[in-house]
Amino acid sequence: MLANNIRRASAILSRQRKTLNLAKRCLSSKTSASSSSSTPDAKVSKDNSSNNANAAPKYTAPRGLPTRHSRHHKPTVAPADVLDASSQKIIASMPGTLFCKSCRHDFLCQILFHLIDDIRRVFLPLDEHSFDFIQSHLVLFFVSPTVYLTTPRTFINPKWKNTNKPSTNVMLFNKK
Amino acid sequence: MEEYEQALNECHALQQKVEYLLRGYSALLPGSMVDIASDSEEKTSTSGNSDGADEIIGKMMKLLDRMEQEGKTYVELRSKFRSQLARVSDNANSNANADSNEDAGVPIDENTSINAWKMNSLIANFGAPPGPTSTMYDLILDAIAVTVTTPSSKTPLSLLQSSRELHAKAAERYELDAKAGTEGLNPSSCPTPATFNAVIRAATIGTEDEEIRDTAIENGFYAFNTIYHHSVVHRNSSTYKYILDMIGAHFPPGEMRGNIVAGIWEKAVQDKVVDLTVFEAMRKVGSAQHGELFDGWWKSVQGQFEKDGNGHGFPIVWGKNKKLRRFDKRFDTY
Repeated sequence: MLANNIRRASAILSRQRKTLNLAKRCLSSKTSASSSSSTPDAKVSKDNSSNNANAAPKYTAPRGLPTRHSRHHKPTVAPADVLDASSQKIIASMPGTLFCKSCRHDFLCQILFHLIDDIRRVFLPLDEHSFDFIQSHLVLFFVSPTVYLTTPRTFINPKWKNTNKPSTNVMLFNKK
Repeated sequence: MEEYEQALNECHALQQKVEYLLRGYSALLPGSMVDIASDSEEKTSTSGNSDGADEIIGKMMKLLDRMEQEGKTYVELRSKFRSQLARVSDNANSNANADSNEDAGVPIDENTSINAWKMNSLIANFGAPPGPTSTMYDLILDAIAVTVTTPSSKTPLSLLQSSRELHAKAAERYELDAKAGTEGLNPSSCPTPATFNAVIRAATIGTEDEEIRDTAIENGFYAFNTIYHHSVVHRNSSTYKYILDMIGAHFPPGEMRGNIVAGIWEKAVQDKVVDLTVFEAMRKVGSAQHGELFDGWWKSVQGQFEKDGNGHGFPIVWGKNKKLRRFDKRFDTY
């Protein structure tokens, strides 16, 4: 039954396509007949448009790196003179810093660094654990983890290399 | 899933940048995918670099390594962050019950092992680390295949070994995604026919060194086996062309080679990918003496061939998938 229905449906569809094609052919013959009378004008307009296209200023400024692409277009290729410098820039960057979200992300990073620096000046002479606790939670809960964990820890706490302890969060919670 | 999508979004710009650079390096190698596809104007703009092919491949691999490192770092950091959050919530729960049984604390070793297990499971269940794409692997594998098969290659053995490693990494990424159930989200982790065919193409190297020959044979059959059992990628005309070339380059003529080659031809017929390139490769291999049985069979098959005929004289169904399964429908390279 199902197979028969499918066959019937396909037959109907093919008939409809044929009628559509016929209609298209009729329309195209009409339009070609009407356009044949106005060919000189059309030629003039075509010439004008081609002249305009030639007169349009060509983009000479280098475009940014391509981020929009299509399967139907040829992918862009980097010119040889920028290859080494660009790839060296990527290779030499610090791990964890290449996947960035936006400029807002960098801006937040800068604010955070300044804030932590201020907190360090106030809290660190008084109580190291409190400072550690504040800075870790501040960064952990308000900014993305990538920022926190890829921030140079020496900037936040210069002594972190010497401390071979479990995470400060755990210590503080256990103490309570 | 949302986290995974976010990771892919974050790394997208960098992926495009690295692919753009890798295409630039690939364009410097004559005969590579990008070189074939590029126009003469583009070729003149990309011909300023004077590095050797091996150095260019080294630079491409460094870029890919950096991408892999970045992806691993991302996954590690995410797992650390998640495990820290879990630890905070665990501690909060345990502190609530701390007053009732203070002495019944869990030993430190057990805690650390649980945390390590959590970390491992977070890393394993994330899927393929974001960053590298199958296009990057394909470009490098193609560059290796193009370089190794030329006689000017300085380090063919190490290139063959790295070709195998890269291929394994590309296949592993898809497996990781399939394991985590994210393969639908990340199509760039799925290998392509070029990922397999480039390894087989590199194995067609003509050499007299036994070590290089053995590595090439191993690589060729390894890639053929993996594509044969792959759930997504299917064999195409180039797969059979290169495997026939590889057999012709490394196996001495005889009954054994005849049997293998006949088997491969039958598989190509079954896959419906027989085209002119496969026939030419088969004719090249089959021209030598392989015993009475093979020679008689091949003579009868070869007799059907017509250069200008529809389907080249063979049943049209034999070449039904020859264009459908190509890596790029415009080129028959992969």
